[in-house]
Amino acid sequence: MSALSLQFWNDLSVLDQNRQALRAYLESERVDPHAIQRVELAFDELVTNIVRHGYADDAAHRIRVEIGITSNHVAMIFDDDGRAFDPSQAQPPPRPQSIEQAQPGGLGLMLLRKMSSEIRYERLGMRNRTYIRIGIRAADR
Amino acid sequence: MKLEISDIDAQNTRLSVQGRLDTPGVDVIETRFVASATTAAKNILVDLSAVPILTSMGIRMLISTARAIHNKKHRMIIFGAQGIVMETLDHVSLNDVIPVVATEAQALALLA
Repeated sequence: MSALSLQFWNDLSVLDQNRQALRAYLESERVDPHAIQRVELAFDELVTNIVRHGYADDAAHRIRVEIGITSNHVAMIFDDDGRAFDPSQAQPPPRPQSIEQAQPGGLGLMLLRKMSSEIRYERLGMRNRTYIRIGIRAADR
Repeated sequence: MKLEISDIDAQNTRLSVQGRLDTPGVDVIETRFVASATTAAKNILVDLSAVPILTSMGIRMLISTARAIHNKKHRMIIFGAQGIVMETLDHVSLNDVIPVVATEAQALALLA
């Protein structure tokens, strides 16, 4: 399994260049365009969540993402030293009945779960490791 | 990332978004989008037909803007979403709080 490794600081200004590197890798591996969009969306949601909510200080923290492709899935491993957080256990926001009730927050993790066929999490020492799998074919989504 | 603003008629303004409504894209467009929508004093029709991807940051911008427009006694309607953008809108049930339709004509019919 060929793989891509991305490393970047907890700064959202570098999100797009890393997302483009991810897309270029998936295109070079001839991944279905619809699956690429789902992977990009999951990547954006999880990295944004780590950067915006993962750290209690203003220091620079390194985030690593390993991406690989199997016959059925794109697999991503996110590694960060933010506060412990298991995205597979996050509760979705309540379904609003009106625009006044609508909560803009909490939707990212809901979308992450919708786009992923599997989310696993483990805490290793002071680091979070989140495993995401996204189906390449319709039957694997 | 582009935002085109055009008056449809005396009551309705179209905001056409062109580009990715993800975290970097929203960062570029949000201030102008919100200001344009909330100062128009009209109904706002948001054209997403040229948006290839929509993340939660984009949805947050849409909800916040729709709420501000609602508070000014006007309405916001989304049209033109396709593919994974429509899938994303469905996943978060956005149509429960902001009307989502296929075409501008359908959006205008809702406002008639």
